[in-house]
Amino acid sequence: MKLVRYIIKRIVGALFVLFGITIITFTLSNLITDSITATYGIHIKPEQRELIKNQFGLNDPLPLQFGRYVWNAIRGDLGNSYRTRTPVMESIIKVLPNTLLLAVAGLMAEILISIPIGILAALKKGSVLDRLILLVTLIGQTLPIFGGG
Amino acid sequence: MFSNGKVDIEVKNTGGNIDRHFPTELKRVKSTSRFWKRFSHNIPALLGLGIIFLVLAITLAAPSLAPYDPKLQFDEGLTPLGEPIGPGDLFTLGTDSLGRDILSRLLYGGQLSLFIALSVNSITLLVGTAVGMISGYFGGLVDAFLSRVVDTMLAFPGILFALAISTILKPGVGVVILILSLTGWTGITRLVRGQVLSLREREFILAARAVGVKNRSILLRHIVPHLISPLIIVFTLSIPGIILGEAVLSYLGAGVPPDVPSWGNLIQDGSHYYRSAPWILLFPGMAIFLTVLGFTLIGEGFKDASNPYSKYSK
Repeated sequence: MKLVRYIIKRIVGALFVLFGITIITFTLSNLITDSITATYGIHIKPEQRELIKNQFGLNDPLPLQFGRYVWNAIRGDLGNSYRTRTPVMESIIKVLPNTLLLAVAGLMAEILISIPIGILAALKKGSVLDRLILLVTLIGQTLPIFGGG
Repeated sequence: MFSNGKVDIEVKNTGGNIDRHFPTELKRVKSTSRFWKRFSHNIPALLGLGIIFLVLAITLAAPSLAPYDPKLQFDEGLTPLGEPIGPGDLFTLGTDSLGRDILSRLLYGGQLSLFIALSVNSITLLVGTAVGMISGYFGGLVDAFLSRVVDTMLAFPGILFALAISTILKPGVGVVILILSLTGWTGITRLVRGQVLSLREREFILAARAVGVKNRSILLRHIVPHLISPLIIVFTLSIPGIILGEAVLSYLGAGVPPDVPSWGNLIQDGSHYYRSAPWILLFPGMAIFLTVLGFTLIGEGFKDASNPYSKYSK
């Protein structure tokens, strides 16, 4: 029973995070670019622009657009890419195996390297090796998320 | 020696036969001065302190030390073929690809980079500590909610987030500070939350609550002082990271405008010419390296000085 409650709490938390990410992504993508220009180029006459806007529901209030976005996303329809004009879901699924491979490989490398090194550092506490390991770890930690490259 | 965490009482002998066995003088020694005593025995840390003083002094004196305007492009700064000149008598450290004096750019750039580093650090410190304290102390739903917010922020890849924000808002110093703060505050939040979680169960906190001290007072007057030590360490040790982060942002083009010098900008310019004009990359690189080294040494020194079991205790 306790396990079930714990799982439920975690799932609710994860849903919350998912919701937060969705809102931020939606806001950012709306702010970054004007989707009409991105899809159709800059030579759009204003009347055409209005037509397109009405057709795609871009004149609706933002919460409605957001709701529509989420509704479609749950059903697997993430719209069409600005660059390739093909469904986004297709592109994601196409590269998913490679991404998963990369992620798992990275995780394994991380575990296989860091656990033995950590144990080594702890066993030889105070030695030169220990301090060297601590130094490298420290440098790695203080670099910002995108500074490691 | 007994301690309540803030003040220790040291037992001191004044010499003599009987005094060897019976202390005749009790001297109150505050733990802060013991901290500095330990720090002062730590040679690498003192070296770091010296380096940083030097760097700060030189960069703050930029208006008087810099021979030229850092944004000015000189015709004399380029060879007849239009290439940058190496270190020489006109331009002490050479010029960059647009004929600007590197020494001046280095000095003013140091000001900007250090300013950015200190600003970002202060903002992340304030926000991170506040969120971490509230999250850790009140627990329950508040903690769960705030932790989810932190998770949401962490779910975004840093680079994409940085590029997105720099596209929406025009690149500039403020935007750089904003981006680095947004990506950095989560680390401090985690740290503070952990500390507060463990502090919450200590006897003096329980005693304060039993007596009826309001939560806000407990947070401000009892918990914060215990956070200062690890926070100072994190503060000094994250400055190198922020300087490098600003460098990366400039490299991606999301940093300060290209004519305004900053160490990150200089590195970006220099990296294009590292074969033909290595001095453009060399000097800012050395400057960043020295600053990073200095702050790291100081941070390590703080860490050792606040640890009573380190080898610098007497």
